[in-house]
Amino acid sequence: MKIYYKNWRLFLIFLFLFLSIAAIVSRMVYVQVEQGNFLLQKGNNQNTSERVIKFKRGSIYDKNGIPLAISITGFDLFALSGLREDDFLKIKNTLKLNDLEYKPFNKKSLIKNSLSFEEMRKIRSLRIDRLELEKTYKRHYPLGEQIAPLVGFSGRDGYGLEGLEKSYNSILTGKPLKERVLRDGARSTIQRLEVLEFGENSKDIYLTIDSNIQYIAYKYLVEAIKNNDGTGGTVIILDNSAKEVLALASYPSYNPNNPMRSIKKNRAFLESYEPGSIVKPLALAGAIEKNLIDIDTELELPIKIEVDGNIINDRKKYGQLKAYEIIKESSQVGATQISFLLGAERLIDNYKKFGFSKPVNINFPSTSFGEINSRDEISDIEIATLGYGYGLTATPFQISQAYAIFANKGTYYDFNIIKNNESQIFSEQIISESTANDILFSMRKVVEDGTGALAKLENFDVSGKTGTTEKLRDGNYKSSTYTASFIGIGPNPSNELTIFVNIDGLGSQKYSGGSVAAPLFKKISNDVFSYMGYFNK
Amino acid sequence: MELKSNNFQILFTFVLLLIFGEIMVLSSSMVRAESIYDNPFFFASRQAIFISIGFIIFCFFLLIPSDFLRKFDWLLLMLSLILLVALFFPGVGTEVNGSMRWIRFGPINIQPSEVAKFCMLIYISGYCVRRLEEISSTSGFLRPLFVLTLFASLILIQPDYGSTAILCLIVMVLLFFAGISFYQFLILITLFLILGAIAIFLEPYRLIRLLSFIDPFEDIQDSGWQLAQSLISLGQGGWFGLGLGNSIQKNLFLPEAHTDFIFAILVEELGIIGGVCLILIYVFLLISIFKVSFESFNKIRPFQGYLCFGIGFLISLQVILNIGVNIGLLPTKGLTLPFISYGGTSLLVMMSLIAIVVRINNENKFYK
Repeated sequence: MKIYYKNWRLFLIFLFLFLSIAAIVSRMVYVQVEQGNFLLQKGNNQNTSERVIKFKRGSIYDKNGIPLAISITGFDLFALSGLREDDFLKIKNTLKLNDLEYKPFNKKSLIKNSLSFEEMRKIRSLRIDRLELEKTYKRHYPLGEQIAPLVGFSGRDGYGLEGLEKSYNSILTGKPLKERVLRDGARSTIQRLEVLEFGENSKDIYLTIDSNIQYIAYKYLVEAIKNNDGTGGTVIILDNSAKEVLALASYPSYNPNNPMRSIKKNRAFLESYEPGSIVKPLALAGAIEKNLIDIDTELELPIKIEVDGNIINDRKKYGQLKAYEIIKESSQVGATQISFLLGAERLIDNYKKFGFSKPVNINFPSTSFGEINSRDEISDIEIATLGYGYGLTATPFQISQAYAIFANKGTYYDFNIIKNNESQIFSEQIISESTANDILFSMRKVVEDGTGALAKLENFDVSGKTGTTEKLRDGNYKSSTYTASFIGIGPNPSNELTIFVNIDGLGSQKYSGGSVAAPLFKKISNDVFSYMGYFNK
Repeated sequence: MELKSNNFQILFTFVLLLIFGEIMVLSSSMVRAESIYDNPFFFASRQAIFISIGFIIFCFFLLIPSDFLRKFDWLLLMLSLILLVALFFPGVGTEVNGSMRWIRFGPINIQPSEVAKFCMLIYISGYCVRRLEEISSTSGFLRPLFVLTLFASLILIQPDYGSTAILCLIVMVLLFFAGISFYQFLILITLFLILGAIAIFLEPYRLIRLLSFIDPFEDIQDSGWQLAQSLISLGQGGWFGLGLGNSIQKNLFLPEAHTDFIFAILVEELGIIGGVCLILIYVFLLISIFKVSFESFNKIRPFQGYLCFGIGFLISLQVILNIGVNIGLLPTKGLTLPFISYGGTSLLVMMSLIAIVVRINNENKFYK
């Protein structure tokens, strides 16, 4: 028997196999030649992506390294679409989220934010698909409202929104690193392919603020505002020799840790107001510097004088007063006479030298710098009012820097708020050392037995000056609200600190710088001097 | 013409394919194994164990005379039928991705449709011999038709369309080769189409899914995903490949990278050149298998001739269909690449088939 297997049927089968293999090989070549680039492009689109790596935001510390703003690492937990209910319940039990109910997830949705490291590890160990943990940083402000108007805050995305957090944002954030990475099908990164943009690490910043002094300042400020029914206030404490701001308190404040915070402005930099009598020593300094008057020149003062039909009067008839006694008693008539001695041009020029109406050289998101009434045909009454602190505005910070000139032997300095040893501090001799000492002498008299007697300390000698401002409202000086100010320099003789305080929105009961601001100054300076370790008397 | 078949050629290509397969399983499965089992060698080590068991079974079939298989073909057929039916008893079959394909048997999973291919081959080869004279008659034709319909239906409702298609095709081609008449052949094709129509009727969405292979990028997120990823592998591989172990697509982009789509990963890593080399190795293996078949016919051993022919055609078909799916020539279905893909039952069946061919080749030497 012979089997004839070699027939047309076998030929057809082999032809089928041969054609199939030929089709396969040609198709492979076709795909490569015709679609190779397209497929490669599709592949690159899905397996590479750009990734931005942000650095942890830098911290803000006070001069002693006490944190004022820090970032705490947390993890946000997201469900991706298709997370199953049993997996969800495991998460719910692990994190004890009792009030969260399962609903089918069809897009990426937040389950819980700011998980701790430990919670994150627990979730990871569950090994659940369709979950995503995103690293986030939560900003925390340990001193809260005490320093909020200065430090400010940053948003959830780590961008500074207010205060120093905003003005030093680029240093605190650094520059994020951009890179191209290889990803797998589950979108997790396998390896870095290339760096697209090199980053720059974020840096910490150190303030010149001493948080202990800040605490003292803020505590007494709030207490005094509450006791005197004020609406707001400011305390600035300057280290005259180091040219640094030691404390800067502003009230009303807010809690920067609360996401529902409502921002309150920093009054030290932004609340420019008519300073009132507090400018009298500046005008006198100008007159002495121009040799128009000496510190003990006697002036004849009537109880009132008439200027352009306006009456300017003192509380009582002083008769003859020496120049320093005009400061001590804060005589309006005396101040008017000094203004007229100087004349409009030299008076305004003198204020400008002390930094009034000039921008403040400090890196803060926005600062105000006031203005001086200096129109061409200025009237006599306007010259007179400039002499006792009306017709010009300044911020508490400008006033503090101006007074620091007396402590620094007549030299103006830009004060720092950031520890920075590299840049040269701007300075300018404004008045002679003897003029500065003359003014300090007259200010000491203010505290000894003048308008600022309530600022007198038992253990320390200080110099000071009061100021009371009737607040301009709707273009009129209505005697409804007042701002009480006091600025002091001490302790004598080193005069290392300048301390400014003011309280705003006072009623008509108790409102003067001498009765409201001076006692606040006393409380703050007493504690601060002790804290700093000064032993004087 | 005298055909000289050569065991060395069969064994060499066969072992080469197994080693190649083990390497590719290791390379393509590491990422997925790591992500599922925390053990990158999970699949590769199991595949190595399958190969080892495979060699025991290989030796077992070397010891079995081929006529013995012919005598007990009905027994094998019954065994296979029991396995296929057992799938539908609750607690026996394991459902994966909506298909009842596996029987869990202690630590091993058996895929009855793979066993069915093996048994069907032996049965039909035997049938072709028994009815050598009457194969063209209607009554002789109806019996295998009945057995095929039964088996195909059981596999179709798992559902496993790929295996059903393969089973029908090998029976059809074997009967065609053995001398089936033209109108009977038409009946077979009609039966084929009816089964296809039933499948589409049962789950119409399958048709859409089936046709997505024409432009996989149209619906890349869903039905086109697998094939699109497979084509991207080819594109990324280029002519010479990214190098062994360097596939990007195995990083959880291409599903079934170590089973049905291992060829795409192979091309991505070794290039089109590598893919063509693999096809050439298959061609060498198949040529030597067909040589054994023809030698058996020449020595008047028709059963052995048909069986070897069937084995050769089964392997060719699996290779062609699998690669065809991988390169977007054919719609996606679950078929393994013989000797290369991960998968125990498929590997054991393929190794047994090679053992049978070697045995027949050895037996042929004693016949004039």
